[in-house]
Amino acid sequence: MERLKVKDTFLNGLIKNNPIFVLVLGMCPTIAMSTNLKQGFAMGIATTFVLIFSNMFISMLRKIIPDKIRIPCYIIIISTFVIIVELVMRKYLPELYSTMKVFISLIVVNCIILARAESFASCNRTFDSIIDGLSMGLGFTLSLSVLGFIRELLTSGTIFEITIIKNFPQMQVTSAKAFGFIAVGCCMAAFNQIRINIAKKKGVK
Amino acid sequence: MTTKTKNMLNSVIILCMIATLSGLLLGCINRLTAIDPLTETLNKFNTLSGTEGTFEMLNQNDGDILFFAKSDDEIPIYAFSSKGGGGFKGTVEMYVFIKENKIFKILQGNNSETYFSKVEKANFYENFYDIDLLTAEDFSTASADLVTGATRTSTAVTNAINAAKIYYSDYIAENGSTDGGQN
Repeated sequence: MERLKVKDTFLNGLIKNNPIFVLVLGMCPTIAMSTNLKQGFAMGIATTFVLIFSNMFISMLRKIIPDKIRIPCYIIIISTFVIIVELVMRKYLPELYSTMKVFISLIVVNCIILARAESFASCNRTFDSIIDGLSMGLGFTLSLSVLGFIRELLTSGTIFEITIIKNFPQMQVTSAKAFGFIAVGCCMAAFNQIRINIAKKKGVK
Repeated sequence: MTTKTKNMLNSVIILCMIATLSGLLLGCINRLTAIDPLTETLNKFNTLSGTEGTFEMLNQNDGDILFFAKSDDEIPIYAFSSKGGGGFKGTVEMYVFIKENKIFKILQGNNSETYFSKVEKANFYENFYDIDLLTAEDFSTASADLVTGATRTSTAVTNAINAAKIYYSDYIAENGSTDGGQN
């Protein structure tokens, strides 16, 4: 029973309630950071780290945080982990940090993190909250990576800055923000169609 | 003490406790990940100049010169991080690289100017390249073609580059050149 609940919680963020393709949360970093796979993946991992630890601490402190001051408390906890990500990235990944620093700081107000803190971590056990943070983070990373993969490949024919298609025609339009929305829309449609098909098959069985 | 006051006090205490613990945790992480600004600047000079040599810091925080370093190449590269006032949003920081008494690379450093892209698109830095710094007159807003629509930013850039030029000329006059230049 316990194992089943953990599996459910894990699959919930990854597929059933995928933060980007199903819940349509965190659209600002999604559009801005998915111009290439490297940035998309790094943003996803940074958000996953913040999600796991903020969920963990909010869940641990849920019984002592008064209801009236819960949002300021959540913001302090979330921003602490965002600053940790910033400090570590500045030291060990300075080039990546210089291109992403604005959006790393903005993780503090990412609605996925605040939504999970408010709707899950504040009323669930610590272990479940960690699993929820992990699954939501991985769902976000997966979505950003898929979008980054598509946009980078169409822009320059490269993946992780390695040339995959030689003499690929430069399509700068695919790195534009407007194409980001088109790509998100197409991926969202495909993702939901696959999800519905799987659900139908399971229902038939 | 009323229940309302008690609750309020309780909230303040908990908020302060969480903030203090966060501060302590960040303090520890900051100590572990602290970067020495000197090393960071020298690494930046190395990356930006494209040299294989190593830079040695000669001076720092001297007037408008934030950092001044020299590479150990056969023909040394002199690198400056200098600041210039008069910009749209105040002071701009520039990286200036000099080889054989001539500026060969100029890059923008930390600044909050909003019109910098105009300055770079207009190839404004071309005004300062390939000029013998030891014989040339000081750079001024009169000698450089200021960029229309980014006059104040280009003025600040000119001031920063001129600060490096003056400092370099004085340094060479005092210490002599080791790079086969004219001095």
